[in-house]
Amino acid sequence: MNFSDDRLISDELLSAYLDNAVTPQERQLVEAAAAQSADVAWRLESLRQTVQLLHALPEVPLPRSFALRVEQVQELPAAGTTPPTATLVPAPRASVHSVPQPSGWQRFLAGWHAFWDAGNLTLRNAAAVSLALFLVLLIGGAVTNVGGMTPTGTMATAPMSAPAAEPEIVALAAPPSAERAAPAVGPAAADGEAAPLSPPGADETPGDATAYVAPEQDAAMARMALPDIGAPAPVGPMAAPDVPGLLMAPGGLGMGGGAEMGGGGLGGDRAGGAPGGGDSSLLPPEAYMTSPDEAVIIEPSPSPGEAAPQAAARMADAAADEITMQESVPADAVEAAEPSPDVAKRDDSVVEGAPSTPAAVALVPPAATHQPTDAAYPAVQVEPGEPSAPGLPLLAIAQAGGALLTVLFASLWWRSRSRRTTG
Amino acid sequence: MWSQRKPAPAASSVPPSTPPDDQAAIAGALRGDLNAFNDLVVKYQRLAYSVAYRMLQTEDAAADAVQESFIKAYRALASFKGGLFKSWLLRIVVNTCYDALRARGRYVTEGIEDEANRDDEEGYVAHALIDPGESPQEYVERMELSDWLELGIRALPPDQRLVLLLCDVHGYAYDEIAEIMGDPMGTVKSRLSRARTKLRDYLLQQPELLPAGLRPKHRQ
Repeated sequence: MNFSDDRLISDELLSAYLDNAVTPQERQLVEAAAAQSADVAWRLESLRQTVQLLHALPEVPLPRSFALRVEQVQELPAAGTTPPTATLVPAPRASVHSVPQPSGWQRFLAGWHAFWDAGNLTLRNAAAVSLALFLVLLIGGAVTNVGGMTPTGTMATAPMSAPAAEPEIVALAAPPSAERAAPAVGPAAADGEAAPLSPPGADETPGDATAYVAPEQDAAMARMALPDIGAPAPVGPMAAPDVPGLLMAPGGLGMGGGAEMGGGGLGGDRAGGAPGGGDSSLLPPEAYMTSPDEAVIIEPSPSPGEAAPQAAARMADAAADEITMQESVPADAVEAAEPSPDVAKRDDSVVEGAPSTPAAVALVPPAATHQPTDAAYPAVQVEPGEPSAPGLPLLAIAQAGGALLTVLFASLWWRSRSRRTTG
Repeated sequence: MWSQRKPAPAASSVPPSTPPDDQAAIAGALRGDLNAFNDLVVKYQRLAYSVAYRMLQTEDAAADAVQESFIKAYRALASFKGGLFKSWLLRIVVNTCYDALRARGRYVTEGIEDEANRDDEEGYVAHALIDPGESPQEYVERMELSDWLELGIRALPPDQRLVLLLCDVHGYAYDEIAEIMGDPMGTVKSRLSRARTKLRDYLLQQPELLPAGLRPKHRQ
């Protein structure tokens, strides 16, 4: 069809054709044009589809009933209108027609019920039961695993010696000024990036803090104001050299004392070179030092008035950290017990399960100003909780079975819904 | 899934008249029986609200317009001299809606782009009840198309929107629409064709939502 013929077929004509509002001649014209021109045919068909979509438009639900009440019609001024000849008969409210209009919540519930009531209800119920069973098994397994990991050992028997540790802490906190000024960075710190860091509120002079600490360590290190660089101090009185399997965060938990590295941490699996400066005899065993490549922050000694509680807190933290990793104490209990939130920033493997202040303080023996011995540090036996070995495989199998049953029944129920649609 | 209705006849050959039950209700209402009038309210409130909602595009405004329309109808019931009560009632609803649009300051021909960009937070898009036979994917597609269609209707100018609603949504004939709107039939046909064309072009902005027959094909 040529262009001029198409122009005769306007959208208005096509629209009227759809509504049978055309003359016979117009109808023939439209039908001929649609047969010869794909453009006309598409325009006609698209308009037809549009009208059909409008026919299928869902109804707008009523928000409420609009039935009139007596008070609504009695208060109306009737100017210019002819009022009803008879007097109004107030109808009792009960007889007034009212269509209960479902609220949005009711509509949602109606749709919800319609969705779930479709298909084979037996399969639906079976899927629900299997899902519930699976969830019960899952939760039960989780509870079992949590309860199975309980620490044992002599930790609780350690006396609460935080006050007793104060004299030692005070001693640690009295730095000779010269030593304090010494660059307390050992080889480890020397190897590392040197960025002077000072904890907030620390009484330091420029240059006192000399070591760069890795980001994950600085928070922990910041709290551990080393009283003296090189001063005799029991390095990590909470250190338990004999404790096997202790896992420490990178950089460890630098404990105070001559460990310029911030105590070098009690990283059991980390060998670090002895930090420079200070009496090596004061240093913890090498295995518990931070590695040479890990620098720790060295804080200037706190003021005497602050030393005791701060040191006690730090020592408590260190004790808590070393009695850790293989326990299953919830992290939130750890955080609640920690004197400082910075502990949580350390490696999770360290922090997790670390009971903090009360028990940790209890573990602090009277500080000795010499190399720790076994007598000074009660061995802490941290035994992993006994897993419920016999029950685990069965539990896992049950859980898997529950999951499979849930999927199976749910799939069958869904298919039954589809079949009822097509069938 | 979709309800299909045959298109309404362009012009009814027989003058419409009020059904007998409506006539009885009107007579009772004229005697002062409010319950009789409420029978008419219950019968036509869904139609009135549907038109008012799609005209005013908000639930509150539509509810107010419908309530006011029924009160006006009750007051003016004595002036109903015959014909189709539904059309007479709907004319009151339409006029009330126009009054509301004028008061709102939006009784102007708005561009389809302006309507489409307006963020209608109060608007409600009617959704059909969930069809238990359709899959969630089909339900989502249907709701998306329905929503898109509602937006397209809202994007039309009020006059074209009303004609489209009365004819293609509620099935009124041309002459009934002309009576309701108080316009000539030729004006009604013209507005209707423009409304359908605009709506089709609006829908074509989202061809993936459309049925195959509505999607553009190679046009010569």
